[in-house]
Amino acid sequence: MGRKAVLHIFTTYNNVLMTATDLTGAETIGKVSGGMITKKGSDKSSQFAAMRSAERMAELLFEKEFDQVIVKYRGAGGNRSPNAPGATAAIRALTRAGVQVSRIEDVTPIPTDGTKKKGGRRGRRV
Amino acid sequence: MAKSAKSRLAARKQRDKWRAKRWFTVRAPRNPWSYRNIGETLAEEDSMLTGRVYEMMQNELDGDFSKMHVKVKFQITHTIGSDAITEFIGHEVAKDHIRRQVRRARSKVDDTVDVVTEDGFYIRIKPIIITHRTAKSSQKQEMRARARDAILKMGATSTWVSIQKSIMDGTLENAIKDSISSIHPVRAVMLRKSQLIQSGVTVDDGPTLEEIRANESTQEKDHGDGDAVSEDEIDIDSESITPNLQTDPETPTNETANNDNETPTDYESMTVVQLKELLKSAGKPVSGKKADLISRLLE
Repeated sequence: MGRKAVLHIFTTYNNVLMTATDLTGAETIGKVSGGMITKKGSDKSSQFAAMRSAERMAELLFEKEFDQVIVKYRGAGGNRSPNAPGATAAIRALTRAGVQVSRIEDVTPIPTDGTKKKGGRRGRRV
Repeated sequence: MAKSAKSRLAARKQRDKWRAKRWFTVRAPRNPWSYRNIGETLAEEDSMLTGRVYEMMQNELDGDFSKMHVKVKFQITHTIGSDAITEFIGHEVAKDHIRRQVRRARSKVDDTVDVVTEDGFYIRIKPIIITHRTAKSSQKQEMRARARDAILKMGATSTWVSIQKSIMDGTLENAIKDSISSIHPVRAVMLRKSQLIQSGVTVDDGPTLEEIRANESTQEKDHGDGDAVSEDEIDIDSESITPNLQTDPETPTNETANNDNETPTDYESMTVVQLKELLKSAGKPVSGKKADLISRLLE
């Protein structure tokens, strides 16, 4: 049985960033981002990019003899959207690649106060 | 997108850096876990370890499945050889677990209580109370006050270790529940979070690390066939045997520091400067204590 790592998945509106670290979170094992996968800028944040980067990340992990991960995913947070659309796709791709996901945690920063969301009282009017 | 020669060189350098890192065993505090092996971390030097926080779920620590949403935090204080010694710095209940409890037609009472324990530890405890039906604000105030009293009373009359215990096994939660259940029917009492803010006096009792290591090595021997023990497997549990150590059974780790008779004497008698010279010529990293240097030379 291999070692366990922590996989931090940060999905924003514009990109997907994945960083695998050891269990203390201090030592980086590997990094993959959506921009390394796709050619077009606007595809960086797509589900497909998340899936492909998860596959690449699984390879990186196996290379360094890790086969279990704790996933900590994080969306945009703040007063923007708390959901991380790429995370589910990435987790699915990871399990398909043979990485054992032992725990999934949402670490989106959610304020208990803060500023008003952009868009105004009546929302964005297109 | 062809990779440039420069980036390939950088990648190789990165890989070498990875190889230079060593694995350390993370050990739970002496009291009450008697330096249990709870995991591992890696670093180039042991000075880099101090201050790192190792998180784990409570059911991984004590096997209690009702506590699988409680995260326990340990901070590395210092290292001895290849062991990283930690201290307990608090716990946290998973956010989604609390969110599931908070609903319409229930009331939530939150508070933050600072306590100084008997042995001078300054800690912060955050209780949360969820009632069965909506409570009046006067009832909420009374519940908050009584919960605070219960925590302060418990905190002032017990040590940090015993508070840890009462947080982890639910004694404190039950004490709070008892004191407030006459006000309003209570659905759940949780200690949402605890934080160690300032350390006090630590009392050393329980087995020492040497004793535990000796114990673990005898267990290893019982597991195996009891032949000439390769020193590297001493403090590694049977589940977490490191793959690269398995492939290279000659690798002695820092255990050599404890059993000097195993190492050839010519390395022991040399000075650190000479050892570093040798390491440099062998192309290996020169950081660490003398014992580390020797073990690296023997690889």
